[in-house]
Amino acid sequence: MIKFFLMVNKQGQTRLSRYYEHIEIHKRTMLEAEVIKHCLSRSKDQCSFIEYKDFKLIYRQYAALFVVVGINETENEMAVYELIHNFVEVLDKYFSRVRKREYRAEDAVKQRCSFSAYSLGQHCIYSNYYLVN
Amino acid sequence: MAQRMPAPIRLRELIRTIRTARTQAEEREMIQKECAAIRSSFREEDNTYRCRNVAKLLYMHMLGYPAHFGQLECLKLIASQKFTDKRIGYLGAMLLLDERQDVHLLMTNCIKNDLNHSTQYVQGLALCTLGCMGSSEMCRDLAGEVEKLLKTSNSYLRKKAALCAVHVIRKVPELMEMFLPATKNLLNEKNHGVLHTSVVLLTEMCERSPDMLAHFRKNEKLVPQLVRILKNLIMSGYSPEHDVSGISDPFLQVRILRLLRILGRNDDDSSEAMNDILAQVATNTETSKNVGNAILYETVLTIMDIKSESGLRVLAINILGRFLLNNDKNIRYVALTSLLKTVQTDHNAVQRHRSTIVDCLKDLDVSIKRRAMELSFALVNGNNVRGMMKELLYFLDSCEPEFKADCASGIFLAAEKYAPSKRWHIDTIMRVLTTAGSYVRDDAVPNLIQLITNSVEMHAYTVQRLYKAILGDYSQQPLVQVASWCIGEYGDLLVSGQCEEEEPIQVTEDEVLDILESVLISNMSASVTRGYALTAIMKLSTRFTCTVNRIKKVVSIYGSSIDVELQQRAVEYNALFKKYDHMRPALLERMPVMEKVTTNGPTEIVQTNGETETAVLETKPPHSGLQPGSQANDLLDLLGGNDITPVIPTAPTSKPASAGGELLDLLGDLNLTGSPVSAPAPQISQPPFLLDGLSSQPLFNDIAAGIPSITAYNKNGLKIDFSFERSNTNPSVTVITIQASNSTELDMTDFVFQAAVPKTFQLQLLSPSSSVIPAFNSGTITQVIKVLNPQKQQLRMRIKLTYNHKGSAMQDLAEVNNFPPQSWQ
Repeated sequence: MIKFFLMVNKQGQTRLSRYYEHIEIHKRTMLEAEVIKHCLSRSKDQCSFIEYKDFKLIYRQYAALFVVVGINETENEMAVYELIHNFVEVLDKYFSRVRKREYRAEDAVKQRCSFSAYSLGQHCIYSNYYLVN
Repeated sequence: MAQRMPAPIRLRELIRTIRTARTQAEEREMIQKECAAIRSSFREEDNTYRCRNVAKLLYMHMLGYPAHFGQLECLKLIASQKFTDKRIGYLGAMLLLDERQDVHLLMTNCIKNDLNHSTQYVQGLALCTLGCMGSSEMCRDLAGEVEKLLKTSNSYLRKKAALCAVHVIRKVPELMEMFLPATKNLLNEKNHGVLHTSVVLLTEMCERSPDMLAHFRKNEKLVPQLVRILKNLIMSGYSPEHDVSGISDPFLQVRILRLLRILGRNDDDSSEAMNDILAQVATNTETSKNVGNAILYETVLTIMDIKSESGLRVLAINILGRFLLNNDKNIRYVALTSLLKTVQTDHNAVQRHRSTIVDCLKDLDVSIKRRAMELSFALVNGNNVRGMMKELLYFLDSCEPEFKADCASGIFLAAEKYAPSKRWHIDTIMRVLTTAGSYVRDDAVPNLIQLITNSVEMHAYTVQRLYKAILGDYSQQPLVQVASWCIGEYGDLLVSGQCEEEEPIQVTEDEVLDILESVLISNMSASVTRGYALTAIMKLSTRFTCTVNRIKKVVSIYGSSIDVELQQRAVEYNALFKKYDHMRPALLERMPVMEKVTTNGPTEIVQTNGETETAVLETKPPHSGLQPGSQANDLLDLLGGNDITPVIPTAPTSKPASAGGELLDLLGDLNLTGSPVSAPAPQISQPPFLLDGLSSQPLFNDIAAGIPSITAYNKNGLKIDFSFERSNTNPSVTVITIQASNSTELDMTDFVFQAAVPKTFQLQLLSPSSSVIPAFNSGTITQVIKVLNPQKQQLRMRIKLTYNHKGSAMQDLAEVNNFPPQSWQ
């Protein structure tokens, strides 16, 4: 089960956040800050799965952007790793050059809508990126 | 009239502005300003720009600022007819609303209407929102609509409806049956999106309800269908729509494998049906990219979980072994995790990969190290324990602090189970104590002490090594505690240089006391450690010969210590020196070997007697059926009888008068005077003591007595007197103190007194004060015997005496019949 999905840049600013469990607002910012701290402290040859509190973080770095997904133990970590990449490719296709530009402002809304369509309630719906709404 | 506000800025402007902020405070300011603008705009009920304002609000919410005042606006947007409005409105609802807010119920009607909308996108939005945040009431109301949509032919809607159904089932499990008919045809779809979500729905149903699971296994023939789909996925050629790095729809494959896992668990038929496809997936999947490995990982998990045949299992473990050798950290991590799960069931297969696993201990990555450590501990067995321990000790040296405690505990456990020899065991423990001494858990200390006590032949070696270890550094508390305890117990061995296993070192008594005193004084020592040290010093007063005065001085200093625990001990030890000096040797003698008992069952404790560790107090098999048994301490089958810990009369010395009564209180729960050294040790083996209170040499205030003493034996210059005391609280107990004196001109050495009583009695002998009776009546040996006489029969006793006198061994038997009636009536 995916607990949350974050896109955070290196400075710690959240670009996208989607929580699938209720977490209070001030706790969210703390969580995001801690998560990015963990991810930044990892070196390149360490594995992408971090055990954090009672769940796992899976992160992937794309230039200056970190995509972090929090999962519980029922998920296949590697599949989620692939999912992250898949999503970024979708965004790439749709908004062009996501990684380079950390995407532009007006795309933020569209992107959140599409993300909600992409993964409905903790599950990944599709990999077929032509059909994204 | 209020002036019309200027058009609110667009979202992208807002984002640009916020990004220019250089500090947190600046950002907060901007956001607050914008929030105020938005709020006034809402108040004006402006339809045109509502959508834009809510979008901005959502962005600010994402950054972490409160946005609850936008909730009603979201509802208004949902109710609007424009698609763009609806879209933002639903998004806002998903992000801002949940069951906790009452407002969400107002949405129900809107969603209902939208579920029946003519445009599929609107329907899709509604399904999305319901599936994200629908409460149980909403789900109950709208489940019918969802079910209807599940049956449509529109695949776009079908897949969303399936996921929405998952959410409905989670919220309202009773509605599960409603969706059952709709699931019949779900897997016949071509569209992968629908397939994927249907598998999710089926998984959810099977996980939640065992009835459903059984139903799907038998009636629906789900397994063959899934197998067919999976086969098509693998065998079909390149399909651009679903391809991810050369593999066709890996996400669907993983999902199907997971469902197969649930179906096959504990079910032979299903497991058999899927054996082939699992083998096929395992062998055909490309492993060069991460995608392939993800699928293999899921396959391995499935194989291990169902009732697969052994060939398949071996295949799975080999795949994991291959993963371990892969350079990619993620894959190694995943392999270690799975191996940990399977090590219980397929131990031998995993053993084959032991060397690779041990190599992973040296990996840089923290998660991998942790997994490797856990797995290594699981793999230790009698054959490989030496090698594994070497690696693990090396790991303990170099690992991060967060691992040290777990690693130390793991090593102790493994060493206990598989130690090839006592010396090795003790060496290992020493190594752990010296490398990770401060991370060792508190409960390890008493366990270690017990272990050391039980390795009788290693005492000298152990104490020497421990002494050397704390000479340099006495900051690691568990190490210091164990070392102090051992020095206290075996200090005489240390000073006499008796070590056989290694070069004995020359240590003087003063040096030993120096180190113990430094521990006492040091700021680094915890209070508990100081307690250990003080008790150790006290014990040494009977083992050392020339430094007793120094010990007395040290002990008296601490009588005014601020630490209450230390103070109490010091005061009581002082009392021991002053008033009860004759009892001191008996009280402070060597601890006996302890049996490790996990239950509070009867223990068999060999009572020691001074330097000879194994003087078992026997009773002769008498003709009148006296009490048999080689252990004198089976009093009432309950006692460990190991009461010779340095237990101090627990009554503080300010009230000596009442101490007698208290001490004779059989059922007293007199705490063993906070001497944690002695407390954990005997308590491992002992159930509630009955004779707790009598364990210390009782204060025989003669007030309680009034029973005449007798001479039990008088022959060849050896005279033994019995004096009696009865307990006020328990009249069946008689306490006899014997005094043995020697009127000849030569000492009697190695004196041992043994006694037996009739079957209806029970007897306990405590240790004598010494084993030498000096000549010319210049001193006596004192020993305490406790007799339990529940039936109040006449007391009779047979005694056996053995001693060395004038160079020859003497032995005598006698019967004592002249007990005064007051001693047993």
